[in-house]
Amino acid sequence: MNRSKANRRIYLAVGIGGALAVAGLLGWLGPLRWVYDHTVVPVSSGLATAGSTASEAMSNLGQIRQLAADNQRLQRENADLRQRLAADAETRRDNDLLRNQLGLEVAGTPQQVAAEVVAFQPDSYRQFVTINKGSSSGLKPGMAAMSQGVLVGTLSDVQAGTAKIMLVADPEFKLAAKDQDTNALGILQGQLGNGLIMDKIGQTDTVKPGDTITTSGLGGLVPAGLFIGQVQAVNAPENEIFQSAQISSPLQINHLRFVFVVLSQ
Amino acid sequence: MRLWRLYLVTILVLILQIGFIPALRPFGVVPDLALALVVSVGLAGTASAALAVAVAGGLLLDLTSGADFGLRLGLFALVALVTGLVHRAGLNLMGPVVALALVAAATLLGDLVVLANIAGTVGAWPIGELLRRLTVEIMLNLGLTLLLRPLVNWAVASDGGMVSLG
Repeated sequence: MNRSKANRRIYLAVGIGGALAVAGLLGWLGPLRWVYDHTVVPVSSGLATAGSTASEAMSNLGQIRQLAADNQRLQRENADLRQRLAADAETRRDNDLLRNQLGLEVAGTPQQVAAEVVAFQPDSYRQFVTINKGSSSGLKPGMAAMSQGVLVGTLSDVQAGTAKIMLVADPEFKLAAKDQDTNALGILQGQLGNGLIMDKIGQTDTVKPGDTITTSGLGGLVPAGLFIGQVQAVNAPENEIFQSAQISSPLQINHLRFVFVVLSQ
Repeated sequence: MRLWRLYLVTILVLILQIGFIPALRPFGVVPDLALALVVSVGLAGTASAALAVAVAGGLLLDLTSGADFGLRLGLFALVALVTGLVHRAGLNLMGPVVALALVAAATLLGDLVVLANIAGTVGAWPIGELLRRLTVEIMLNLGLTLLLRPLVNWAVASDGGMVSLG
């Protein structure tokens, strides 16, 4: 083939690529997204499960030596949680009784939609996953997603049959959070190194390592009280307006297989 | 070039890149098999074949991504054009060194663009961790390029009726 014909093919490919990029940025790729959801997603779903299973197996192999120590720690944690659960049940009974006496509405448990993780973000820095439920299941952008009782992230892009979740560890993730033990409010932010930070905590507020951090329910579609993690360290410079806290989340991104999207009440 | 072989290899690589590799996340990074494919096809095959793979692969990865739509499409197309120029200059005959250099440079460029896009919102830059991820990602991409070469050579091999594109 001569060079001019080859050049024409190159110009054509560049033109098609450019047109697709512009159409995508303008949100005109609806039909293509539908095709993607119905062809690529079912295939990638099985492979994503295989990938996370393999990743989990490799991670388990590396942690065999720590199993005994982990077992002891978990037994202690379990005993502590049983104690707290018993105390919480007592508090809940008192709370329901008082609410009934005052005529206040008893808060219900928000409805959840179970979804399977079908694809992960294809780069090393951003943190998103794609799930196999979308607007046809009642999902909306901004809703919270949970896994194993921990906040995973919020929905960022919802199509008819799929949705993308921006995970809490994404550097652009921001959500109002509170210290459940002291009621201190702050903004939860993802960090580039996969960590989590609670920023914009007032200097007069008390936050200490070990405190439980949950969603505050302020603004957006995320209800209050969803577990995020625990305070690991507090950074409170004397001459700053705000203090910040490092949060540790038990979430392991590449072991995610199922999530529950919390429908707003 | 037998096109069905190229289609087969491209589909296989893209499915692995979208479904399996990001879930596996070896050493906490996502290696880019699709980038290795674009460079290998550009050097062993033709610029137009590499561009077709780049557009298809870039678009699929952009549809899978939750952010930076168009980044992969643009990066892959640029890489395909550069490999086409390298091919025309005859540098592809120097063995795998050129492919490895192109993959390393494209990985660096891709990561820098992703980081530049979030520069305004990131509070702290863990430089050590970022350098570790970049180094591991480049090493894995180089390894994947070497592994992919025989498959790509088979996919673009002449069978007597080869169409030679510029």
